[in-house]
Amino acid sequence: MTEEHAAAVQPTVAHSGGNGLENIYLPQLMVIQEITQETPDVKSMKLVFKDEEMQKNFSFRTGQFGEFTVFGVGESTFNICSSQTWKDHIECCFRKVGRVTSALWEMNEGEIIGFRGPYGNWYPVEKMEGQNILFIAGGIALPPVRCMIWHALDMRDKFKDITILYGARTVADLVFKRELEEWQKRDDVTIVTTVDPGGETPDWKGKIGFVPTVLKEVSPSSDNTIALVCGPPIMIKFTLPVLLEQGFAREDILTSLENRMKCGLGKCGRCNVGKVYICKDGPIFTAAAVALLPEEY
Amino acid sequence: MIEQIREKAKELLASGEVKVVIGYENGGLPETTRPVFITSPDEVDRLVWNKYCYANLATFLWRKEVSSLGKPAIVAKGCDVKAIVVLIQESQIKREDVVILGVTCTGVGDPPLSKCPICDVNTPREYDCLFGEEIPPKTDINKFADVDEFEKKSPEERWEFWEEQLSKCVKCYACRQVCPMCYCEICIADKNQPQWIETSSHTRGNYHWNLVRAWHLAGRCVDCLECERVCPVDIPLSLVNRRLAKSVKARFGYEPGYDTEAPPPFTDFKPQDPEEFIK
Amino acid sequence: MTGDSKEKQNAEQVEKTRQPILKTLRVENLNDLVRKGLDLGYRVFAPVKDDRLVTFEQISSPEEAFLDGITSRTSPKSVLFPRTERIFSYKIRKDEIVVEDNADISQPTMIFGCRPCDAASFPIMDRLFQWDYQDRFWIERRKGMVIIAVSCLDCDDACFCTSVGLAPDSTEGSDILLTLVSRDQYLAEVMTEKGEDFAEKTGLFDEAGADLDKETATKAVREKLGKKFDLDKIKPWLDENYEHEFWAEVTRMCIGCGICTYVCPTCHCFDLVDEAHYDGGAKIKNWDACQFAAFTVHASGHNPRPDQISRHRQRIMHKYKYYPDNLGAVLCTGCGRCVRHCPMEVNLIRILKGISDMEKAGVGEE
Repeated sequence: MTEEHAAAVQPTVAHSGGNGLENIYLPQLMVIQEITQETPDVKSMKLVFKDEEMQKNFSFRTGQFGEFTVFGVGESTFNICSSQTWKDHIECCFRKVGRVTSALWEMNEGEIIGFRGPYGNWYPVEKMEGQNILFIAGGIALPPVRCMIWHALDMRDKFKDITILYGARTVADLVFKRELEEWQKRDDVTIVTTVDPGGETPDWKGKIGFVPTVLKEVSPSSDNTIALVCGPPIMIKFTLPVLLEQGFAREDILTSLENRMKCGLGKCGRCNVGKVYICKDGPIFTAAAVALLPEEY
Repeated sequence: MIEQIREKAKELLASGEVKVVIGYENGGLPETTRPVFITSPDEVDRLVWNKYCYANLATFLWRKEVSSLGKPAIVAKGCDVKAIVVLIQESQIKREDVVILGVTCTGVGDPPLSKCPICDVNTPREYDCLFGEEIPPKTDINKFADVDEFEKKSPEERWEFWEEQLSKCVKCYACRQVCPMCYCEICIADKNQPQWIETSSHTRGNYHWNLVRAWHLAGRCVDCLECERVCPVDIPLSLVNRRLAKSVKARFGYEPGYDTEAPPPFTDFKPQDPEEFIK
Repeated sequence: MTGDSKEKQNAEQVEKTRQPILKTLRVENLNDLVRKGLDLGYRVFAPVKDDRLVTFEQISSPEEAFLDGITSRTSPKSVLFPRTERIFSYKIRKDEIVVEDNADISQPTMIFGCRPCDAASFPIMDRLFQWDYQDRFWIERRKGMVIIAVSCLDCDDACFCTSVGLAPDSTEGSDILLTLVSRDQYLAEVMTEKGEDFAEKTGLFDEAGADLDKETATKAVREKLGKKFDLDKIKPWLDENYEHEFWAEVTRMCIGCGICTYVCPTCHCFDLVDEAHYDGGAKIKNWDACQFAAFTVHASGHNPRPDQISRHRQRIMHKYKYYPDNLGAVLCTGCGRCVRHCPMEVNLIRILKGISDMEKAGVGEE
């Protein structure tokens, strides 16, 4: 597989070998600009396109995802956890758990990875404007919500009350801690953080309890409010009834499904659930839409 | 004979001694049968026994789709029983957790499969009930005649043969899925940290897979021939399996599938084990 | 986005549908047809027999082709969608990575002697590979491909093309369909401009007289095939019965091998993997199968389809419900390979007949 190829070498390409059609599986090159270790097994990365023109011309919508390649190892699917309002870079966040994320974990600033995207749908920002937004996230699932939090904060006057409820198993498992503190300090955001019982540290000032329980306690109003919920399946399962109890309509609850993907293009069949391809029709669905799917997520 | 099997199945299910009888029913295509899982005494008439009962049903003893039904009785030919014996030896099932409905067999297939003329278990070696006339084991057979013949070829010829055969492999993993001995929760072929076996079905990836599969069956393969029967591209897989079986027999005097108490050679040490490879 | 491309695709299909031009080909000229193809620079793929195994292989002379079987063991989808294929390669240098997109996929190709069920698989699969994102590996190969199919005069118990709206002599997907109408003559239905162009270039085809009809030739096999289930009853039942005890009953014997999907002309799920050494590597597209446990498992270990019964249901749902829902066609041509080669005789015909019978009974009750 590694024999020298006589064919013309094209640097950073995303286009065809002559016959008109692009090779849709071809990644763009991105440079790792900055790495932050969020928890013992979670890192976030700032990425910029190697090609400056491409960086200038690149656009995406908040909530979309990409396929990230560690060359020589493989490709992995992550949400673009930065907001579309940020033009000079994108960010991703991952837990070291599989083959690709373990390799990505070992990479350094300045090194190159591949990126395909943006893929999938995005948050219905227009629908959310003029409304209150309730963000609910658990553990490593803050990133797919965080992109929308920043989007809303960057256009703060377009949205009404912003409430964030974020929980993790332990204090050490909270990601984006600096930003949590930053949001804490703002007076135009209400933020509640919580850790599972036993996960607290002596100086922990947030709540102690599971996300659904704390949600009940906080009891946010459902009037003119859109809820974004991302977290492990078990958290979503128990959070949904609480939201419905609070009077949220299923149409006003958004979540991001995390099925395994490969191509991101609606071809390879892996993320097919019912008639839906999570990569094409999702990853963002209303709770009403999720209720119509077979339980294969 | 089938009437007696049905009668026994009915009795076992009615008494609650077993919850499911694993057997064969007629298939939809001519000259086929299909594995069937009878859970009610009223359905035992679906069971059949004929020369098209190819499948080694032992694989269903550990599959959760079947084991979840409860304690099984299983219709088993002598070669299938050998697989059950290995599963017991390897602690995948307990002897008391399965009722073996042994059937004597003079061969499956038309013409009989290649394993049948060299079979020495026409009467199963282990069973709870036996159906059919007992057939004394053949004694004058050379199980490895085709392996011996193949070994007369030069290494180059053998390489060429396997290169051609393995180039056909499409990596459908039917050989693994059908194998009663391939019960690993996660097969090494599905592990990617590290990627031991390339998933591509190019020549190198095909060699990776087929050789690792065979090695993992050394001293364990009971030569039920299921892998070879199901291979959609007709790779003679049993030739590799039996080449290894021949070595195990020559070196350790061991053949798998005959004795639930025998320690498998790769889990056992004897001072007289050959060790000429340690130099 | 989806809507637009669907319209575009429909337009393309409309364009392709035209009245067939009827010609004839003398049986003695069949080999010359292949020779002409080779001379014209086509890579020719045909069924090739080796012992009992018939697969689609590239041939270099007409004598290699084997046209007598019912269907080949594996389907000709591998010509457009190889079981393993490099889709780009890259070099890893000290401070940079150089990506090379150098796949040469535009050679003219001829598929010779496939059955109408296989020819019909191509337009069905076009829908997927042209859906939103255009997969050039499929589309460009397809553009340069001429398909010469041969009608079936015999079938076996696994065949069920007539039950999914096709026939042993359907022209769907063929550029030229040959039907043996007498001992020495094929009726050639030239279906597309590509086919016409090719027929012209070979100079081997004659104008057909009005007296020729393929109906008589294929009548016997049509009758033998009959209808094995009622297609109209399948989707309505699937729409309502994702949860049903029937699934476990009819699929419990499935051992989760990939044979049905790998021999299938329309199964198209794939995997993308990197294969590399220290200084470079390649991205490889490999066939994959919804029947494998590892197909959907998350990195966390959670598997949304945790047992074989749900995985087998997925295959049937995808073919007879999801694909029709999304792309307007049943993802099955009734070639029968999955039925014929299933090691456990799961038997798709039996399952679909069971479904169609239940649905009929259900309607009767109302």
